[in-house]
Parts: sequence; C-alpha cells; structure tokens
Amino acid sequence: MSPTAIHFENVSHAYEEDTPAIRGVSLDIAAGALTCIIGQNGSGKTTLIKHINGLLRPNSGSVTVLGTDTRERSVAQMAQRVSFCFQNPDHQLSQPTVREEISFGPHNLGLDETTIAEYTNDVMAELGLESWSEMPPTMLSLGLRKLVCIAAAMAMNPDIMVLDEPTVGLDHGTAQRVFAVINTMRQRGCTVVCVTHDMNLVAAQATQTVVMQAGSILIDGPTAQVLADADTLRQAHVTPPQTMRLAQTLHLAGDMLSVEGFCAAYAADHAEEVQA
Amino acid sequence: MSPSFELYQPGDSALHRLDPRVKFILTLCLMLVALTQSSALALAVLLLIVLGFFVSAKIQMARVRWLWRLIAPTLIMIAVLWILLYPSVSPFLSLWILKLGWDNLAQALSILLRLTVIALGTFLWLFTTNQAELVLSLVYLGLPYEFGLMLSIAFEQIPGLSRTFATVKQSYMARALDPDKGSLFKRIHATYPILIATIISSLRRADELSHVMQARAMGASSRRTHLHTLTLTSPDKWWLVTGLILTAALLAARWGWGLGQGALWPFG
Amino acid sequence: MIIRIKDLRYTYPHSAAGQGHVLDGINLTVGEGEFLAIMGPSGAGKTTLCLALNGIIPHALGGKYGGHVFVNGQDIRGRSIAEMAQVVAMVFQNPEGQLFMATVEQEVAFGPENLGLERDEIRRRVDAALQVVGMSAMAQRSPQSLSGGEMQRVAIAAALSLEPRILVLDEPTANLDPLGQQEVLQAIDALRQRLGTAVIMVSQNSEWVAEFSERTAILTQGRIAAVGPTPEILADKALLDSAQLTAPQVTQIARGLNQMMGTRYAFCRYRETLSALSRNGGSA
Repeated sequence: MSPTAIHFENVSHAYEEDTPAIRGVSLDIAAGALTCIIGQNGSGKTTLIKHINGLLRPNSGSVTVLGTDTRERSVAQMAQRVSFCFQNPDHQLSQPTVREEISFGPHNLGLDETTIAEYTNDVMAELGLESWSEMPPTMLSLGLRKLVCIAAAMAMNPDIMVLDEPTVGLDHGTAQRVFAVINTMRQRGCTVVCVTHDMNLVAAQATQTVVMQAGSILIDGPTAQVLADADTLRQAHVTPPQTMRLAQTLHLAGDMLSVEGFCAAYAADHAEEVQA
Repeated sequence: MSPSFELYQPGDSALHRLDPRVKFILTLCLMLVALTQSSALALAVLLLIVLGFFVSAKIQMARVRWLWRLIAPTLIMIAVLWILLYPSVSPFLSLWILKLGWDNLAQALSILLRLTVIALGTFLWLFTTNQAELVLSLVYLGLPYEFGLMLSIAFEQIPGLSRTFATVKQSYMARALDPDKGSLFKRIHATYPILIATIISSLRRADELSHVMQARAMGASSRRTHLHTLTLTSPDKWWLVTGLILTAALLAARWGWGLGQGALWPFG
Repeated sequence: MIIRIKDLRYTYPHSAAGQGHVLDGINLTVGEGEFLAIMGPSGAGKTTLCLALNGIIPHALGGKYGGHVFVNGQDIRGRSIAEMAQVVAMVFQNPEGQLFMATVEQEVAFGPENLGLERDEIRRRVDAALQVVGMSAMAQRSPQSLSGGEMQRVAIAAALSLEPRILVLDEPTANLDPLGQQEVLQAIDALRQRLGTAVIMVSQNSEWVAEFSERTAILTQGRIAAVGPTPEILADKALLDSAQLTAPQVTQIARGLNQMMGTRYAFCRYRETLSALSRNGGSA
C-alpha cells in the first residue's frame, strides 16, 4: 500500500449557509495513483477538489496534503506542489503566446529562466504543442486550448496534479494524448486526481474511483470493484462501460475493465461451443 | 457549484406587480430628483425611502451586500477625490493638501448619497423587473426591440461577469499568482491577466450568442409579436400619477423656494 | 432530399494565407426525416459545416465560399439567415451560452415572436415544443437555474418552436453529465418519433451514434472521408483510426470474439449485442 498523499477528514463546505456543497467527506488518496471522481453535476466533485490546493478551506474537518494542513498555507504556496487545471480553458488563457502561457506558472514560482525554458519545452513536446508555441492560445481550437491548460499545469512540475474534466470536448485522439501525459506524470511520481464523466478514462486508467452524490461519497475503492457495483452507480446516475454491463448480465467473471478482458472471459466461458 | 444569481429577484411585492413602464418612468423621476437635489439631508431622506422599497420588495440582504461591494469602491473614491480637489474655504483640519471643512465634507457626502440613490434606484428597478418585461417596457416606450434586448442582456452580464472574474481569479491563483498580495503596483500587474482572460471569454460568449439569436430567426419579420403584452391597471395609473406629481412638486420647490439648494441646506 | 451539399468549399475571413480550406469540397445529402451523425477529429470542420447549413456561413461570417448548399431545393445563398432559421434550426454545444431570456417559456417563444406570429399560435408552439422535450412543468423557471441537461432540452425546444424540418445539433451532449446526456438524447429521439424532423448531429461519442443514427459521415480535414449506414462505418477500424475515432466497445468485442472464437459477429448497438451473446447459452 502506497503512502497517502491527500487526506480528507470529515470535511464539510457550504457556499451559502445551510446548503452544504459537500458534507462529512472522509477520503484517502494514495501517492502516485490516478484517482477519478465521478458523479452528477452538482454532486460536489469540483468543490471537493478545490480543497486540495486550498482554493476552498473546509468549514469543518480538515484536509491534509503531503503532510500539511491546507489551512496553514496560501493558495500560492500550495501551488508549488499542487497544480490545478480548471474545466473551461477560456478561464485560464491570457498570455500572448502558448509558450508564455505555459511558462506563466513557473515564472510565478520564481524558477530560474533555464529551468522554466526546459520545463516549457518538455511539456510542449509531450503534448505535441511545439508547432503552436508562438500562436496566441486564445485563437486555437477548443481541443488545443484545453491541451495548453493541461500543459500549463504540468509545467509547474507538481507533486500532485488536479484536473477538472480533462477530456471534455476532446476527440478520441487528443484524449489519448491526455491519457498518455497523465501516465508520464505518474511515472515521475506525481499523484493525479481527475474529476470526469469519461468512463473510458476511468475504466482504462484509474487506480481508485470515488463516486459522489449530493455532497457525499457513495462508494470509493479500486476501480474494478467500484464499477462492478451496478446498484450504487445507478443511484449516482453513472452508466458503467458496456463491457461491465454485458459481463454483469451474462454473469461473466474476470477483468472487465477492458475489451480484451471481456473477450477472454467470454471465450473461456464458451470454450466447449467453439470446440464443438 | 458556486453561488450564482441573475439580477431579477422573483417576488410578489407591489413593486414586482407594478407595470414595468411605470417602474421605468418612476426610476427616471427618482434620478431626476436626486440629480437636482444638493442637500445631504434631503438626499439622505431619499435614500431611506429607496431602502424602504428594498425592504418592501423583500430583496435578499445578500443581494444588497453584493451590490454595495460592487459600487462602494467607486463611490468612496469619488467622495475622497472631491474632498481633495475642492479644499474647504474654512477648514477645521489642514494636513498637506487635505483641507477639511464642513462645506466640502457636506458636498462630498451629498455626492456620495446622490450616486448611492441613483445606483440603488437603478438596481431596485432591475431586481424587481424580469428581463422580458424590461425589454417589453422599453419597446412600448418606443425603443427598437433589438436595443431593448441588448440592454437587458448587458444588465444580466453584470453578475455573469463578476462570476467569470471570480473563477478566472481562482484559476490564476492555482498557478501561484497572488493578486491580493504586495504593493498596489504589484496587485494591479497581477490582476492584468485575470482581466484579459475575463474579457476574452466574455467576447467569445457574445459571439456565440449572436449566432444563437440569428439561428432563432432574429429579424425574420419587420413586425415582431409578443407572447406577453402589457396593460396598465388602475394601481399602475395611481402610482404613475402620484410619482409624477411628487416629482413635479419637488422640482418646483427646488427652483421656486430653494429647497435643498446647497449641500448644507437647511443648515447652511 | 431535404439537404443537398455540392462541392462546398469555405475559408474563414482573416485566416492565414496557405492555411487551406476549412471545408474542402463537401458533397453530402440528407433525406427527409433522416438521422445523420457527423463524426471527426477536432479541427476537421464539423462546426463550420453546421454553420453552413443555416446560412450563418457565409451570410454572417463572410469568408471565401464556393459550391452550393441546397435546402428544400433552394440555394441558401439566395436566402437570409432568418428565412433559413424556419427550415434549419440549430442547437449549439454550450448549454449556458445559448439561453438568454428570463424564463423557459420566453426562451422558447423568442423564435416565433421573431416570425411575427399571432399570440395564440406562439402559445400553441411553445406548449408543443416544451412537451416534446418534457419541460412543460418548468415553463416559468429561469433557464439559469436548470441543470445542463435541462438547459439543453430548453435549447432544443427553442429551436423546435420555429417548426423546422431539419434540426442541426453541434455536440449537444459534450458538456453534460451522463444523466443530462440521456435526457437530451431521449428528447431528440422523441422529436423524431413524433415530428419526423430530420436530425443532423455532430458527436464524438460512437456509442450514442450507434444507438441513434441511421447514417454516419466521417469528416476529416474538411472532406467527407466516408459516409454510409452507421453499423458499416463503425465496423471499419482502419477508417476510424485514420479519423482518430474509436468504435463502441461492443463493436470492438465483436472483433475480438471473431478473432478468438472464429465467430462472425458484427455489433454496433448494446441491445443486439446482449441478445446475441446470451442466445449462445453459456454456463449462465
């Protein structure tokens, strides 16, 4: 069991009195894992993750990130270790070129120019943004604007990266690129937390899955186990991937997170027929 | 989800039920009176009356606080500048360029009150009139529909813009920008990218909206019809006549008997 | 044929020299009451194609335009956007960005009011459109207080109240959560069953495309790479790969099982897959 990177202890938060957006949330997020948070809009997912870098402070309970209570640090201090990518790219783009946009965060951290240039070039290469580096980011297509925002979060070389709906509006190919950089970050030891509706991302990549509803956690655990809990998912209006749904109705057992897993289980189950 | 609201506050108060045209005209009357009054005392009374309407229309306190935060910085800056730019002729306090006396203090106060009355009055109109009625009232009063619609959308953009600004600010704080720390120059410099992102995303939205409206046949017929129409009821007429008479009386008193002529009136 | 696109070429104004056409010789037809899906990678010109169907391109945006779009037999270049709006209605991707009136009812009435219809007729159309998308109970609500799925259903109703013969939806579910997606797709299905409106839907989600559409066109780099019955298109792995798309999981399962077990499955929809796979007995 890997050590805990983020620890929520009975956290509640209300924007307006008497209407808590999250209530009594306790959660451990393992270091180096990809944790996906799923659930309906308005179930408190974004409120939850804004606690990780201190944009929101708990009204009650506590959030410990990499051993520090978030109440003891400013958002700017938290940003040295936690980077955060918002859902709407238009809320994050202001610089005249893609290169400057990506190096904006590292500059705020006060890194030296050579390091900044190195980080910036690296993430542009990883996300395939080099040919756009001198373009104004606001002029790019939605998919590319989204990639620039993810690149800007990566360039801060964080220990924890929080992404709010990283694949919304992306085509399959671009989404694959995002999956790939999430893996690269994890190989470097970075903990990644994603809020998402993208069940493909969850099934294919997430180590841990958290299902939220009405401000509380319905279920939380290893992805295969969570996605197999059809009743709970139905309650949260989440539809599991087709492989899981088929496996459940056909009473197949095995690794159902991938098409290959499903096919292997089905073929094993029907071995006699094939021979016959 | 962050708290969000539109300007219009649904309700069933007398102000809500009042014909939007009458409300518009009465708002203009209020502005006229506020603009012609100089007396701090008279303006304070006017402000109390406006606040009374806020209470009667059951506008949420949170809404009033939001409004005050929106207008207070500008108002206070104007009042302070006034005191600095118009030194008192008989100051009781002189400190470098500051010459503070009852005369310029009362004048600054009267300006502050006048602008507050006008701002609160305008927002009272917007808080109690739904957008469709607002547009309709302007159309009935002779403005082109497109103009009325654009105006009402612009008003609705005020809370939208402050919401967008707040989100953009958060996203930049997450990239280690601290717009609330350091010298004034540093803060202004740090706010710059936040403003740019806010403006660009608003322009993008405006562009989208223009496509949406065209795709919904905006301008298809020279004779635009309306699902809802406006009719003046007798309370509406009563309010209108009373409002107009009161305004006329106040204006007459102002020019005839010098009611509220100077900032210190009736004491100066 | 309700829509016939002939060799359509288009370049946005102010685009850099040598950047090429966004639409580069599109030929496509859409039948009366048909459900056509358009898929393709981002930047392929999907949104541009949508805007070219109701005349926003070229009337509002200008740019270099070649070829023809015939709607109902008439070239759209000879008709205004407002005229076109009564035949081709549009629903855009961003739910919040396309609602601007104070109540749901006023939002839906906006189009008919623009047409200068009588009040009774406006009322009839508003009620009918809200009923189709299942939003009648929320007529007096403020659109901004609704969920994403509800907002998008209101946007569809606001398009339907123009009583169009074609509804164009540009990624209508991309910004929605799963429940919102289902609500919107059910609303689209209901309007097709009841009104017989032709639907052209841009989508990245091959599972939804498989469930609902009859034909699918794949758009890459401003050209139609392929168009045909949805099951055939989604079964063509090489085609999908080249367009950075992915097939529904059930289609991938059919391919996997065929390789492992020598079967000849061709799946595209969930239900047909389930019944085919459970028909084979098995240990269950």
